[in-house]
Amino acid sequence: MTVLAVFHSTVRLEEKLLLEAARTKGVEVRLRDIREEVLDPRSFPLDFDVALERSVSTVKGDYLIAFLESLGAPVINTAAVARACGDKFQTSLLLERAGVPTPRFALAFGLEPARAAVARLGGYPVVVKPPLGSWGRLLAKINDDDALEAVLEHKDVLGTPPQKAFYIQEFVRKPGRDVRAFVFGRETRCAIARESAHWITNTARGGSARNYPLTAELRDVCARAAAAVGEGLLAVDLFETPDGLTVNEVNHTMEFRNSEMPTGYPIAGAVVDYALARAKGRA
Amino acid sequence: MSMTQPEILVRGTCPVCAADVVPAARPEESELLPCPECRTMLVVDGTAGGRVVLSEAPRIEEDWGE
Repeated sequence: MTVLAVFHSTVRLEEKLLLEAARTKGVEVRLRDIREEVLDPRSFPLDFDVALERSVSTVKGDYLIAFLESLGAPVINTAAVARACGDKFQTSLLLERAGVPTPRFALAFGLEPARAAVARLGGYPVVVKPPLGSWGRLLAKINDDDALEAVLEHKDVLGTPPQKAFYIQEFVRKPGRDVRAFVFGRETRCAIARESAHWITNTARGGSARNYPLTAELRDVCARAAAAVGEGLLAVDLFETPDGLTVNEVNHTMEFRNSEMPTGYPIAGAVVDYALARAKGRA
Repeated sequence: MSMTQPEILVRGTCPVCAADVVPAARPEESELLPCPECRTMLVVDGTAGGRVVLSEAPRIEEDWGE
């Protein structure tokens, strides 16, 4: 029997759904809390066939993935994918290089270069994001030069070192919603539209989800985005624009609690199946 | 007569306000749940003496997310 190890920290609803799906399929699951693990390559017990990295902490998850890969253990997602998706600047660079539609962006380390970046991106408004971060935290829509100066000064004075790398993105005027697609390998299995009156449409911030049709364009853009970051289990966030879909971000530790019901697609079960296929060298 | 096993209700105590907390039927270690009285977010540490051991959940950190 294939043994699936789920490396977790705080157990979210997603981890419980994964456990339930695995148990329903008769898969043996080992729950491993990464906060209790000793990552010693000479003594670490590899008592599983495939590992799912489900740490809520990106830093801890990245270390775990790199460690498991160094031991030759199959782990989802791979270190390359985690590196590509864990940092918004890295993701954007890979999308840009692959020719995947993505909003214009730039990185700057000070106020004057940031002002120059805004000008090159087409002017205000822009969005300033932490390169490392999630759930819509600390996003700032900057409408003018005064606000840019204030926000960047706050980051410089109060922020941790990663906050002092200013990732600046053109503000995309979206129709009150964005799109999240769940991509397995290069295949888009289901998608939701996240609707909100607020410009941040993340469901972790109160956006509501409804099913989004799997159009040919969505499948194509997502397949190209997945290929650009290295393929795996990915949640691709997109904006609808008059010129078509554009990829905002790609997430490698997908949260899906609000997506199974509107899409009718059993995401947790599909994740387990994908892991089992990886264990057998088929994914 | 019902052949099903009666549901075992496991309870814990909120470490902040001492309220009686009843988690879902099958709580997992490291699962989060809010205290119904003081609304502090709690985490399941395990079970001891037939009760669920609860502590205050860690606060969201900068690198948390997807």
